[in-house]
Amino acid sequence: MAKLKGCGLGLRREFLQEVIPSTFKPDFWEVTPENWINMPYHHKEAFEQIVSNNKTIAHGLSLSIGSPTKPTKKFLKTIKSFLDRYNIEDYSEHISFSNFNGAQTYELLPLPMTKSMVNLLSDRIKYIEDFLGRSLILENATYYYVPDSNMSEVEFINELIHKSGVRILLDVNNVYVNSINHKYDAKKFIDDLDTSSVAYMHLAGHFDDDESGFLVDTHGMKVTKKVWDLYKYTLNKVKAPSMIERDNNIPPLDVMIKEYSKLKKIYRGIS
Amino acid sequence: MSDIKTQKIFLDKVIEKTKAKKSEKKEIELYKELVHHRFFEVISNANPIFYSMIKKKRLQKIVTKFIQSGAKTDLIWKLPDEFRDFVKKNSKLFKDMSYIDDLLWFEWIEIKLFMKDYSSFKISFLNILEKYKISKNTKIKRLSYKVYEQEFTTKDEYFVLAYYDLDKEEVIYRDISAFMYEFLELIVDLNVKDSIKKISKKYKLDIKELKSILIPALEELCSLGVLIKNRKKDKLCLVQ
Repeated sequence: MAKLKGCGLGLRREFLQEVIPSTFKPDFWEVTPENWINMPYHHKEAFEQIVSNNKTIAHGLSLSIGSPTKPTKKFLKTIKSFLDRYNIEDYSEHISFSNFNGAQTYELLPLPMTKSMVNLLSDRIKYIEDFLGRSLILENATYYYVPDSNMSEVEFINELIHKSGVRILLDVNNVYVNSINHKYDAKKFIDDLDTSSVAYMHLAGHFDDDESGFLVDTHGMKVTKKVWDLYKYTLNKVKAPSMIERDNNIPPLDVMIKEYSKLKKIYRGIS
Repeated sequence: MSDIKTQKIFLDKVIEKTKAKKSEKKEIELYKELVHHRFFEVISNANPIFYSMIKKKRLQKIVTKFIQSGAKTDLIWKLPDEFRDFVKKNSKLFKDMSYIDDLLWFEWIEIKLFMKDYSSFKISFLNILEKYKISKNTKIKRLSYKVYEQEFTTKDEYFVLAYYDLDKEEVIYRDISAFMYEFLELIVDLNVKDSIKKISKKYKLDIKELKSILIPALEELCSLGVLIKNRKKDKLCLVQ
């Protein structure tokens, strides 16, 4: 299995059919299993061709690792079968919860940042890794509310890394968004984070929502200058594979290629 | 406070089961909007006709109730199917829309057929000495309203056949007669030749004339992958 390296892009249905004729070949593609486990039949051939000819990793949405109950075996089997079928070794998810007692919200909700939650997540990581037969990578999520917590975000993530040995998907946009929303220093967050555990990095766009007063992690626009700057700062500390994530207002492939090229240039420029 | 309790209190506020404190209103409001938007977007996109017939505010209230009822699927594209169940269980909310179950079936079945895997799609050729059944790629439904023609006032009995056309890459709907429906039920257990005999006897119709109408129709349904040979002995119900 080829090791994850270089720069990647999230594969989306909106531009799937443009990929093969374009001959564009990022170092890796990232796919969301929940969006491809079932897919419109006319997309299947192109999807399988792209995934079988390129290094591909998976980034899930519905694992809800911080829920009071474990993910169902049915769900884990579905994910495992998808990963096995397409020979995908790297699977990432979010440090959050999205369902409670089986009721879904389809939104990444914030977890209490406590020792007991670290313990629960550590047990869960082991359970999921054993089930899937591969290691799990977890992403620092955005949050707009801090539930009853007794640790800072970076303490919580570091504690989780040390207790469970989990690798981290460092979402640089999320660090930036959280730093503004919760008034902390983003660079200090990067300095304090145990970056030796970073498996790869995400970059995405966000929305400045005047109404709520929050920066909202929408993945609906291009990466902002401030996030690029934070990325450069981070890359100087940890040169991990990096990729662009876009989930809303998805433009044609050529627009995504431009943003990917910018990422690649920065990535190559930092030794 | 335990983590579970913290999560439950937070979630209850987000899904509007309890009210947020003043000090956290802004944060909870944002999560409320994010969750609501996720559901509303899926339901309104999956059900464009239904959405066009209902005021946005009313749908927003319905979606809030749906969220509170607890959607189960991990795969969000299946949410419209769960919404159909919610509507059935909460029929009081839709007293003025007697056609709602038919309409939501019609809009859902397009998604369901669109998302199926047709890799093992096979065409059966018509042999009048064989039995046939509806393929898994096809749905036949008995409806009370002609929702597929956007006719919502005349209640009657209608049969519609829906299948995915691999060439056109779209779901096709066909109105079928009660007679054709009955005939398709017959050929599950009897071969085509005997089925024609049986139905001609029942309705006192000329066999030759019946053959000239039914055989080309069956040949076409076979060529579309709608009908496949039935080699199993178990009886199948056509309406799904």
